Formats: sequence, structure tokens, C-alpha cells
Amino acid sequence: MSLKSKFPIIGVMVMAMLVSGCNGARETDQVAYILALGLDKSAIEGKVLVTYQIAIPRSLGEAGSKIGEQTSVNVSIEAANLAEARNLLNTRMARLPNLSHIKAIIIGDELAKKGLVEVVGPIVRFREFRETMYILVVKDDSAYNLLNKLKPRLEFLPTRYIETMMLTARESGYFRPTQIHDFYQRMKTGCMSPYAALVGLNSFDRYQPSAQKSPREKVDEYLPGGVPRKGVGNPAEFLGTAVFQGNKLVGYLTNEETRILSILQGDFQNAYLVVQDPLKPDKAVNLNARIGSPPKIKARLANGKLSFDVSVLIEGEVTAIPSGINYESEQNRKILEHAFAQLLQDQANSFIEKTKTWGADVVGFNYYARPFFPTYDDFMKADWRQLYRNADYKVNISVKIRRTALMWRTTPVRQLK
Amino acid sequence: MISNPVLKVLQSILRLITYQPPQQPEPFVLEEEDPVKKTKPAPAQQELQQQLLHTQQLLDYARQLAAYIEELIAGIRRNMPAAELSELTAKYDCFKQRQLELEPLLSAYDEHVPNPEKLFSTSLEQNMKIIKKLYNIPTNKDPVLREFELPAEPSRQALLVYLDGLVDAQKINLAVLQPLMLLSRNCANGNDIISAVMSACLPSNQVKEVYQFNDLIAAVAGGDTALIVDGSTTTLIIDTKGFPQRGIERPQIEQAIRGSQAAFSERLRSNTAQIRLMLPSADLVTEIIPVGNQVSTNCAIMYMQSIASPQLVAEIKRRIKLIDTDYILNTSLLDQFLEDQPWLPVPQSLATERPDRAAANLMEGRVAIMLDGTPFVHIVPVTLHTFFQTVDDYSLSVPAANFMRFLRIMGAILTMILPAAYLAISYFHQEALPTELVLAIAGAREKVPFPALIEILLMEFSFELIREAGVRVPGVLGSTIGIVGAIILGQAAVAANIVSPIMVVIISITGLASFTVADYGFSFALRLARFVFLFLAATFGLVGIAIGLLIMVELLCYMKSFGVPFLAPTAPKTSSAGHALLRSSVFAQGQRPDELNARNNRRQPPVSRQWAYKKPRKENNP
Repeated sequence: MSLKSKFPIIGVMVMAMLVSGCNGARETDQVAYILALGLDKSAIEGKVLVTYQIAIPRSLGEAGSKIGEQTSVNVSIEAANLAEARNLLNTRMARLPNLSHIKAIIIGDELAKKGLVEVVGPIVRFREFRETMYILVVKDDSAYNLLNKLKPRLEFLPTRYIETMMLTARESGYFRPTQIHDFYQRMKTGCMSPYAALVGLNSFDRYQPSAQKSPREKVDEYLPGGVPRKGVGNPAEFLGTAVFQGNKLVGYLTNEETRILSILQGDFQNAYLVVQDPLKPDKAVNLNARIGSPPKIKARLANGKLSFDVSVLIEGEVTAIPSGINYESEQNRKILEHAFAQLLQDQANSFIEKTKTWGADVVGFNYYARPFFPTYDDFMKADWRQLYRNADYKVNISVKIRRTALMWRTTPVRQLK
Repeated sequence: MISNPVLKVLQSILRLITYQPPQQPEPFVLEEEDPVKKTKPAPAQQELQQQLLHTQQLLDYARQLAAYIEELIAGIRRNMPAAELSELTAKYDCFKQRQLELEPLLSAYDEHVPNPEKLFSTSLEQNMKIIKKLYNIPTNKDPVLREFELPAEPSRQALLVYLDGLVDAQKINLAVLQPLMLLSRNCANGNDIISAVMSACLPSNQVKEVYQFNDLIAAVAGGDTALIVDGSTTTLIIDTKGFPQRGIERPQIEQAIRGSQAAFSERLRSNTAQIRLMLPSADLVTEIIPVGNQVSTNCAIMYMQSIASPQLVAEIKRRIKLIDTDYILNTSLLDQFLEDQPWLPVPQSLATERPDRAAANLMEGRVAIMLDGTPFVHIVPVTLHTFFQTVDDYSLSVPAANFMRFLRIMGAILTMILPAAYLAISYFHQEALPTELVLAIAGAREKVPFPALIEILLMEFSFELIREAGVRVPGVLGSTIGIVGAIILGQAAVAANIVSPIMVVIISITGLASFTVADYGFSFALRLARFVFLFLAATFGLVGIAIGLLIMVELLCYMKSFGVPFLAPTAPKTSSAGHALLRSSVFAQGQRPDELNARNNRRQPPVSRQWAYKKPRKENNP
């Protein structure tokens, strides 16, 4: 076949290309990049308040963008659902919305309490939403307020702030980054409790510890908004966890309870633990801790009652001994390890008690109880919420101090007479 | 006419504003030759009969002459009596008379035979006439005809023919004219003056005999001198080459940091000599095949007799011999006559200006093709991998060489698909980029009025302009073009919001990457492919790029260079010689490339570093 006789074929192919192509192509100046999506209960019955945070590309494109320049704009629409909201967005914004860069879905307190089933389903189904988006719940406030008040000082984009926040959660373990995929999966299993990172707005005039301190505790527990802060600036506070039952918000976990959740799930990366000095109760000892071995959970079923044995090893490095007691010595170290273990164990017990009252299996104990039910249907028939409430939990947290940082023998500070 | 001042003024104004045909000499127009005039009118019947008569006369004369000669020979053999002899002598005079009568007919017949294919005649005058006609003397001023007398017994007229400027005057003076004029008196005797002169009077290193004008022209065109002696049909060609010639210079295009610093030059013989110096072996064969019908140029093919596949050598020779064209200017043109797929932009032979590279390739079983007048040697057959290799790869350590190879491969890939990938992602797959980057791209493009495709084409076009301008401008201005181009395109275009800064980055990286491609022809192929990919990306996004890559791989798989699959040893998979994509240690490269089917596939034993397995000998200190 000569080249000349191929020309009609090539011509048809090129024409086919030209006719069919370019359908999905979008110039960057035709697209509005949505960074975050806020969802709230609307004042109008049967509607949702949808807040789109839309990036202003101009402010990022030019070299030497000024600090404090507005990098995003918020658009709020009250609509029956997300699809209608998108249509309505098109009535006031010239550009086509692109949802693939949404970093976080922020859900207002009231909507979370009402139930999320109508919201999360479409998000998982529609292609443009990524399932790696983070899901956040605003405590005692609306997503609308959070998105409008979120003004980070270091980052250009507010969502970059949220993203970085989620990536650095491992530093303190005070909140758990949750992606929409995990949330949806837990929601659909029926027996697991979905949870989401909790965020709040601080009014800079409150000191509101959320619980009584146990004897060994030296630090306060907080929920978002309750941390005593001074000055002005970004009011957002990432702390604790919002716990759902089914698709409804049932309660909050404090920062310390969130940390216990991480420990029990074996996802505890790093945190500074503070405990009362066992030998000098007015002082505290600090430990930089991480999980030493993943938690071993054993389940037993006797007389229709479940019991779980949980054992976790935490290891760490002492970072501060203000009392000057030589905890590096073999004997003292054991005392210190015991004190830390007791602290965590107390916290774990109170955490489990709290979740029992909600009947919310946040940790995922049901996974270990499944062997006692021969089929999936059997398990679904059993009332897992009740079983969870009635079960016995024996948490055994052991602590090993591996290193004592850069000092190997502590001596008290000498007072000159 | 009334001469009235007002009328005069009016007339002059009228003259100003009305059109007047300009007074110009008739311009020169190159006229097409009238095809009707070109064909000669058919000769009239009468003229044909005349010609027939003439031919018959000539034939008659020839037959009679032959009979006469036979009679004469027979007569001499049997010692014929004097009476008979005188009769024959009378007959001889008669023949002589007739010959004079027939002379005009004979010369008219002679003119119909094409001159270059004619044999030399015994008459120097006749030969000179033909040479003058062949060389268009006196219009043509290059040829020099030097007449002189050979002082032999009896003395004879002789003629030297050479081209002014191609010969060494010193050599002609001292090694040709001087001995011929002075010495031939002693050596020349009898009829066989040519062989006598050749054996005793010409202290020149190369002298050969020719019998045709054709050979004389070819030899004289190469700077030799022809010696024609009256009365002899043999002409001597004497080597007197002395034309201006470029020396051996440093490589201009394939520079190597370590490695030989010599490059090929224009003269075929100097090039073959350079390769021969690199490979001092009797095994290296140089075959010379003239190409071109009207003006023939010498084409040399070189190969290692004991390595190169004989089938390959035969095929190359067959292709070169079967080229039917008037003239071939250089090796690249020759290459286009030879290659398997002339309509694909991918080069199918390796043009190199480095004798060391040519030598290395010959040692692998490839064949070098060179043409007189081209400072490049083309190596065939080649595979795709060849174009990623440089001489420096082999002078550096294995990790360093492979790093450079990797860079070059990445460079080739970037050259081809970076702009297309950018376009595809910014048009179709915006979710594939980090948010900040997408916003930075979008932000930078905010003020640009064109679609990204137009923007990218604009930049590509400008970049190609700079590149083309850089090649075409005189050397002194070359660097200026680079700077001006960079400033205009990079800064001004961004400042004027014609293109976005990110586009400048993309095009710059692409441009830079295209310069890492080792072969000029290959880099051209990649640049062409880039535009195809650009349009595919603009219509289909990454899917388009994937389609393009697929088609490209298919084409490359289909390609062959002198019967060798272009993607070997990757597809078809054969054992590699250890330096196809990345390179292994030299001592581990035990085999020659499998796809070349060399006569001797093994170049060294599996253990080539014998010393590593032998015990070091201890020096005994006395």
C-alpha cells in the first residue's frame, strides 16, 4: 500500500480527532478551583448551607505575593443538595467549578447531629471529589463561620493550613486526621463508629478544661474552644475527635482521649506525656513516647458476654525531670515506668467508659469479636451496640523507658547555704 | 499648441499626476527552452540516402584496405618478387589518395561517437582536438595543455594535460617535465616509447596507463597529470596532486572531553588514512565505488574483513552500485539514497566526524560509508541505542557514564513530551498536580489572552526561530542571537503578558533537553515528534500522548537499518553487547552486538582481566 493511498485513511483519522477532541479540555482561566467545602444546617427547612472556598489564582501566580493578601473567597449557597448548590454556584460565578482540589469537607455541628447520610453518599460517588479529602467537624459552630474566620498567618491558602495541620497531627496525637474514605467505610459497616477530626473557634477569653484531673495527671484536658489563649490571630483550634453513631454525631473526645484512641488503634506516632513525679508529687516528669508494639487485642465470649484483653507497649525517652531525682537508675526507672503506665491505663479506662455510654465502637473492637459469629448475617442480627456496652475491657498498658535523652544521671540542683 | 503660461503649468501638473510607463531597459528573463525546437526535425529522405551512400563508401574502403593488408602480409611471408611489390606500392598510393578523399566523411562519422568514451588516437593533433572539445577550451580556463618535444629518436611531440590549481607546480616541473625533457633522450628507443618513459623517465610514485578519454578526465579531475605522446594510443597518468586541503582539525560537533581530538576532513584519502591509523590491521578493507553518472564521486566503504557480515557488505555494495543519479554531493545525500525508510525522520545511519568512533564501530562489525568531499563518515547499520551513545561514555567510569546516559535518555523523553504533558495536564488532568502548582499555573496564565495551546506553539515557534537563526547567522553574531533571544523570549514576553512564566520554564527545559541528544538528526526527529505529541495532547490529553507513544513504538519496531531491526536488542530481544541502553564494564562486554550477525561474535573471553585470577609474582630483593 503506497503512502498516497493511505492519505484518505489518515485524513479521516485526523478529522475524527478534530471533531471528537477538546470536549473535556478546560483552560486554566475557565476553571475555579474549590479548596474546601463547608456544610451546615440551613435555617430553611430541607436545605443545606453549602460554603465553597474558592482560590484566587491571581494572588498565587504573581511573584512576591504580599502577605495578608486575600487568596480565597467564600461563596455560600442554600440549596437542597450538593448538585443544586453547584448549579446555583454557576449562576453567580463565571468559571466552571473544579472539585478535584478540595482538601477538606467541613461539617457544622448542627448538621452533624442531624445526620450526614445525604451528604457523604454523593461525595463518595461523584468522580471529581477525591476520597482523600479530610473531614472535619466544627464544635458548637458552623462551617460557614470557620471558613470565614480561618485566616492562617503562615500559609497562603487556608486549606494548605488544614492540610499541614493534618500531616503534623502525629506530633502531639491530639487529633486524628480522618479522610472521607475512612469515614464512609466506617459509616457503612454499621458497627464501627465513624469519627472525624474536631475543630473549633477560640474566643480568646475562655479557660475551659473539659474534665477533672485524675490524681496522676498534671495537664488539663480540652475540647476545641476551651484552650486558654492570648492575643489575636487565627481562632481555629484542632483538638479532639467528633464521634458518630451511624451517621449522627453523638459526642466529642478530648485531646487526651483522642490520644488513647490512637494508642488502641496502634497508630500512636509521637507525643509528649506528662505525669506527676511519683516521688515528688508537686513536680512532673515528661516522656516523649511512641508505640512500641501494636496493640494485642484478645476477645472471649462467655455466657453471651464479650470480654476483651488489650495489651499495648509504649516506649519512650525521658525529656524532663525537674525534681532532680535520678530516674535513670534501674530502681527509679521502674517506678517512673509504672507511673506512666498507670496514667495511660486510667485514661484508657475512662475513654472506654465514655464510649460505652454512647455505644460507639470507635476503636473497632467488633473486628476481634467477629470470629464468634459464624456468618455475617449472624453478626448483623446480634445487637452490637448492646454487646459493646456490656462487654468487659481489660486494658494493660506497659511503658518502657528506652533512653534518657542526653543525660544519664540526674542530680538535684544544689542550693548554696 | 498655444504656449500660454497657465496652460504650461496645467500641462506640467497633468504630467505629474497621470501615469507614464517608466523608461526601463527590457529586463532579463530566463527563457524556457522550446521543447519543439529541441527535437531535431527528421532528416529528409534524400539526406538519409546520402548518409547511406557515405557509410557504404567507408565500408567499401575499409574492406578493400583489409584485403590489401592481408595480401601484403601474405606477400611478405612468401618473399614476393619486386615486381609484385611495386604493384602493391602503387596500390598503397592509391589507398592514400582515397583516404584523403574520405577524410571529411570519416571525421563526420567520428563526431557521432560520444567523445569521452572514445579511445585515444595515434595522432596527437586529433587527441588534442578532442580534449579541447571535452574541456570547452578556450572558454574553460582551468585546463592547461602543455605541448613539448620528447627528445627521443626520432623526437616526438608530447602533451601534458592538467587542471590549474589542482596540481603541484613543483612536482610537474621537477618530476615530470624535467626528466622527460632531459632524460628521455637516453631511455627512449624504438616504438614502445610509453613503457620506456614509464620505466625510466618518470620519478613519480604513481603512474598508470589509460586508453580512454573517460579515464583521462577522471584522473585529471583528481589532480593528476596526463601525458599524451604522439603516435601512441596509450596515455600515462602521473600523480601530481597538489590541491589545497583542510588539515586534520578538532571535532566541531562531537566534542569529547577525553578521547581523540582529531576529526575527519573533506578528502576521502585522508579520512580512510585516519581510520587506518586507528585500526592498523591488514584486516581492514577499503573498497572504492564511484557514484554518480554525470559527475562521478568516489565512495569508499570500509569494514573489517574478519568481523563484518559478508552479507551486509554485499548488500551495501549492491545498493551503492544501483544508485542511478547524476551527482551526489555528500554522504548525507548518499545516505538518503541508501536508507530503508526514507520517509521517516529518524536517522538510519550514524554520521560521525570522529575516527575513533568509526573505528570502534568497525570493530563491532559495522560498515563505514564515506564520500569524497564530506567530513563525515556514515556508519551502518545502527539501532536506536546508538544515538544515545557518545565517546565520552567509554572514557569515563561505568557509574559516571551511566549517569550521563540516563541524563541523555531523560533529555530525549523530555524533548518529546514535556510540552505535550504540560498541555495535557493543564487541559484535562488538573487534579494531577499539587494544588499550589495548579494555582500558580492558573495565576500566571490569568493575564495571558491566548489558550495554552497557542501560547505553547508561540513559544515553540520562537524557540525554533532562535535555533534556526543561531545556525544560519555568521559565527561572530551567533552568541548575540542566543542572548537576544533569551532576553526577548524570557523576559519581555512574560512582561508583555504574551506568555506565562511557567511556559518559559517548560520551553527552556525542553530546549535544553533537546541539546543533550547526542545526534543532530535524531534530535530533529524528536523535535518533529514533539509537535505531533502537542496536538495529540491538546485533543486527547494524556490518552493522546499514550496513543502517540504507541504509534511511535510501532514505527520504531517496524523500522530497519540495512536489515537490522531498529530497536534491537530490545525488540526483538537478543543478547546485548553490554552497552545498549546502559553500559557495563568494558571487560564484561564479551560479545559483539548480536543483531549485526558478525562473522566472529566474541570479542574477548569471559574472563578478560586475566591478571585478576593470577597470583602476583613476588620480587626477590637481592
